[in-house]
Amino acid sequence: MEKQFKVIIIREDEEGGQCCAALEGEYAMELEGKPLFEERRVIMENMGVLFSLLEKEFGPHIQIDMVDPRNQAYLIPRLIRDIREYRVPWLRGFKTIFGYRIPSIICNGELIASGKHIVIADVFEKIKELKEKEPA
Amino acid sequence: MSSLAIVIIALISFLVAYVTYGAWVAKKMGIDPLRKTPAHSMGDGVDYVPAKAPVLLGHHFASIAGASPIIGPITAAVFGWIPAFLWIVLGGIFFGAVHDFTSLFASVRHKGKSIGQIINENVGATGKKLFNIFAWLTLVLIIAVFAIITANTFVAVPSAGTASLLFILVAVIYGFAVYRSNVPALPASLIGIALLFVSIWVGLNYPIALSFSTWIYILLIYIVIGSIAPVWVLLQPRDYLNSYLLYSLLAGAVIGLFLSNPTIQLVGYAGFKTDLGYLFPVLFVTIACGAISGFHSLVSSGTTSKQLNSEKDAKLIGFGGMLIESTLAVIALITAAMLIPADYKSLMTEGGGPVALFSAGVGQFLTKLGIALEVGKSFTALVVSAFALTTLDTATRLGRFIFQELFEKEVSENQSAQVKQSIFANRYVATLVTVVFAGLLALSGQWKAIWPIFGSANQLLAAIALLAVSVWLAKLGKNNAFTKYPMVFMFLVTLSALGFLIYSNLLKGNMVLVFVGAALFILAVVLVIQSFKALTNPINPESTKGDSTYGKTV
Repeated sequence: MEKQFKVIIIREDEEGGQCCAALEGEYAMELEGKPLFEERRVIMENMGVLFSLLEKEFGPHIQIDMVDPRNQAYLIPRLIRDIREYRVPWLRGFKTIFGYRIPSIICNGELIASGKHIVIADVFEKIKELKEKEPA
Repeated sequence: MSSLAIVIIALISFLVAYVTYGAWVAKKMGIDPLRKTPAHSMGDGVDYVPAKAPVLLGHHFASIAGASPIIGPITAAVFGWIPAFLWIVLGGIFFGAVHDFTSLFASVRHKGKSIGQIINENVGATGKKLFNIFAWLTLVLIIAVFAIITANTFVAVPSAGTASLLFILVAVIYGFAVYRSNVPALPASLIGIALLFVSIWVGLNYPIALSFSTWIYILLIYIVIGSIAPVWVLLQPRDYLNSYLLYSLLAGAVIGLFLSNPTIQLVGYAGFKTDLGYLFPVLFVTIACGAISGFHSLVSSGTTSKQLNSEKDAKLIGFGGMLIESTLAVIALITAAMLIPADYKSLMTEGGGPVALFSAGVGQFLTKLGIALEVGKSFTALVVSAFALTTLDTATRLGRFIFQELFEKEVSENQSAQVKQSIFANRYVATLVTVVFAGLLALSGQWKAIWPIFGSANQLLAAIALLAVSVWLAKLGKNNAFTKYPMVFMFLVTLSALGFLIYSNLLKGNMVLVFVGAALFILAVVLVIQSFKALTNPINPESTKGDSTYGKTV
């Protein structure tokens, strides 16, 4: 069976806190209408652009998962699974698990962009290139 | 009786309920796996993003879990472990899981809007104001009661006090590393966790022994700073470290419990009347988050509903997520139930209260994993205190927002320079007012008196959410028995609990609590009447234009 091309976008959701005092929904906004998690919002919007570009370009031929890095119970096992599934060389696999920053983009178990200064257009081109190299 | 038997009974009940009752509720609500959720129909890659069920479950659970499902069951064990256990299991299945599931589903069918927005849109401006006053008073109670419980824990387990102060420092360093210096997240987290263990070691060797009132003052200063500081300084980094702590605690407690299998020694049923009050209604408001919590509807309809991939996932996340929380409540109950009644009483009165008791219990379990009792105890106290500290400063921040909103004058953009806002709309004043009110309550030290009032307010919120869902289902011509009867029960329980608590505090001369309880009671009654009227009135066609979710069978 053909392996699906998998992209993980690691970025935080606009929420914080815990039971009995969670800051989310309309409570993630300051009174002036400004987002409480302002820096996080900028990242979310940039990643949203990438998400839309990928969806438009590849549609059902790509699996995109947007994962909050606080969701460790899902994220770490998923990264290990992808690294094994795509037989990523151990050094690059190590870099995926221990090198991701916030935000990061991971393609088939490999970290392809990481950190606050990601240029969406470059990442999109890189993913396109990787997708084209995929064996038919 | 073996505690493992209790856990297994609970787990089997939850599993059977999930497969049978959960499926029945899903069928009655009209879950349609083929229907596009807002994550797809409104997908923007920002707020509305489809997420796989396990991704969303992990995320949702981390948002609803905290210190409350631990504190409530331990406190309610005063009635005996059997009534507490039955309420956690039956309440968790028929009330809490249904509440979380249906509020998530209602939000999904309302374009991912939050329950607060759905209620506010239907109830209007006065209703919104009443809701805000109600919410602010509830938050003041939360701040007061969590401050007392945390201070009591630090007095009883001084090593946890030192470790918690250092934990704040570790979180700040983590924030600077990850958000300012672009350090990779996992190594930073691992170093953060290692530093937490160093904090525990420092705490064990250099415990800070302070009085209760000194800790209260320190906590009040902390929450003022913590709630005003930019979120990346403390709130965001602590969320990361807390997520590790939550999973470590759960894994350690469950494995340790299975290995140690302590015998239940607490009395099964201690009588209808106890120090805490009458079993009905006090038991049902003392265990809030472990059985049903109104705050969950805000989480379900906050981020979760906007990321739901398919309607069929709502059962796993809403219904299943709540049952996992109830499992945590059962484990907390066992830490109390394994004690002999005299030890339970002394730990709850002179031994530091529920968190200290839970820490001692889980510390015992962890010894089976080769962890020294004192280390396990300090670790558990640190984890629960970290949750409590998170609740403290996020509740203060929320309280501040709501207070500011109550006094803020609405102005258009071009008017904003000319209109003078009230001094109470200032963020520092709003924070101080919130903290001073909570501080006055906290200094009374009466957590056992405040906790049930907080529980009542929390569950009133759940009853209001159930009311909104029930009316919505009725308008669609659907069977709403599974939300209507829990709603009626929750209104009866919470209003009678508030009535009883007002009366008992009046007898004891706790006038501040009488005032808060009475204000909550009146607000709740007015809000319920308003909500009921507004929600049962014919819908304004303008507000629902183009929305096929209203008034039609789906």
